[in-house]
Amino acid sequence: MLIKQASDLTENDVTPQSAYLNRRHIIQAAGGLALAGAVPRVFAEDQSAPHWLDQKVDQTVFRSVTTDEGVTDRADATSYNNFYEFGTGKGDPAKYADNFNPYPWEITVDGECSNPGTFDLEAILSGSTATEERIYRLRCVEAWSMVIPWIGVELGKVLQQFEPTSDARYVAFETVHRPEEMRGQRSRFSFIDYPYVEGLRMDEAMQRLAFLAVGMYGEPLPNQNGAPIRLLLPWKYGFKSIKSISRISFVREMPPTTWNLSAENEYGFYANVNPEVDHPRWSQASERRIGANGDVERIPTRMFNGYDEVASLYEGMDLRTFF
Amino acid sequence: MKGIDLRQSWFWWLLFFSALAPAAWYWGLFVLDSRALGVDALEVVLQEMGRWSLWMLLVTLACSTLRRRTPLPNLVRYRRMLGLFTFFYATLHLGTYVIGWIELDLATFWDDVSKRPFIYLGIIGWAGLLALAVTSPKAMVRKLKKNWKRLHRVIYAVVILAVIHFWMQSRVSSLEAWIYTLLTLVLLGERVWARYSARASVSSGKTRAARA
Repeated sequence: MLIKQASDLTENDVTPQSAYLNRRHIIQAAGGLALAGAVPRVFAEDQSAPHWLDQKVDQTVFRSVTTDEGVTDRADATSYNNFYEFGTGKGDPAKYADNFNPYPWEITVDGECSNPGTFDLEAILSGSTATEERIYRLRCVEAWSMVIPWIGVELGKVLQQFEPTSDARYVAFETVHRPEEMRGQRSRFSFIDYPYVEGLRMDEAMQRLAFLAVGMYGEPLPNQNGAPIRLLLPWKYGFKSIKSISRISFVREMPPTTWNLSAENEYGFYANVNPEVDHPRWSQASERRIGANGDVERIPTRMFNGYDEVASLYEGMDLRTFF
Repeated sequence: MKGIDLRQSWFWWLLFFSALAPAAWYWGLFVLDSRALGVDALEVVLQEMGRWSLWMLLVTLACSTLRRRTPLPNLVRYRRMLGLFTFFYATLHLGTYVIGWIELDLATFWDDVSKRPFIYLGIIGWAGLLALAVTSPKAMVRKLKKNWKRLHRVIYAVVILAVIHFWMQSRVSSLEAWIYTLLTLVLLGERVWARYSARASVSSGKTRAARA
């Protein structure tokens, strides 16, 4: 893994700017043409993003964490993913997420903390430092992977605002439940129950790689990728990175997690990327990387998805038992 | 009941090209413009070959049911062709997995075959289809006589394996998995029913004859 500080990087160090163009920068470049209606609206997804979020995304510290691997095309990362709230097909989220209205957004915070309550997303983000961009590998439990530039804030910094007490041993997350806007939540053929729930041990949540994203590819998050705010845990399988978060609870006991409830022998609480521990039905030793320019190739999977610095969190644990 | 006559040769060609069309479509796109198939084109080809193999299998099994239940008695004449197309798609499915998906890596192949039920059940199913395909020429039918019919009952095991294989490869249940399950139950159930009622009518015929 290569983690660089922002100061080590030049603007074109990693990703060609053309890999993902920022709409507002195009408009700025267009100068006088930037009058309403004069610029074609290329990116329809984020039209609903509020002004404050647009600004926040614009002020991002670019590429504070990166890798030397090719970045997946924006078109691929926004049209091929799992978000069962919008259907089980990997094209379904992009197809059916238009009816979802992520703004305005509130998050309810409860449990073992001194500062519980229901907070507006803007208030939560303004309490933490400026947003930063991190390019993370995303490894799906289904054995495909991507490299995606996310924009957001460190999870730990956000959680500290709520002043968790020493009784908070775990933190639980919940996806919004809106069957009227999410067709997958209305499906009669689903094996998973809604709302989707996930959780972390407190020390995992405080790991500096744990990240809350509000944007990707220089734009606010598209609905299909978990707007307006989602988790990213790059050393764990993708299903741990819960989307469209509406509740955060600090708890004493290990919280239930959706995929574990659905099939406990297949999906554990930890779900760390591990090439040595296969899924009961398929191998996890390699993955199909959907990389730059739409190229797909099979590559070996790395322990903790290559993020070795998390290893100390699991010292002394048998990762076959705690998969 | 005579029903609609499907013996014309144009119908043979129509069926032949219809059955060939999905393979031509997906492989044509894969070679010419794989992006048109989506982000991971190989995954689409792999899944579609498997899906079409299962559909061909269900249509093959439907031939004799249609003969019994509908005015399409002659579709059964094309059962051999449909069965061979089932094998054709299953072979493309397996070939895509071995050559494309695991890139001819024997270690992965052995690992998958020895440890993963959905893969070894799939391969057992394919081996069953291979046996049926090899014994499909008329000469083999004559040669095997009674055993041919017995051997070709393997098709019932193959369809059950195929549906289990479909269920196991998907992460969650889906409407599609239920559709295949239901169709299989209807097709196999109809056969049990047809046998049972044939036996019942024979025995009731006997009692009537005995009374008279």
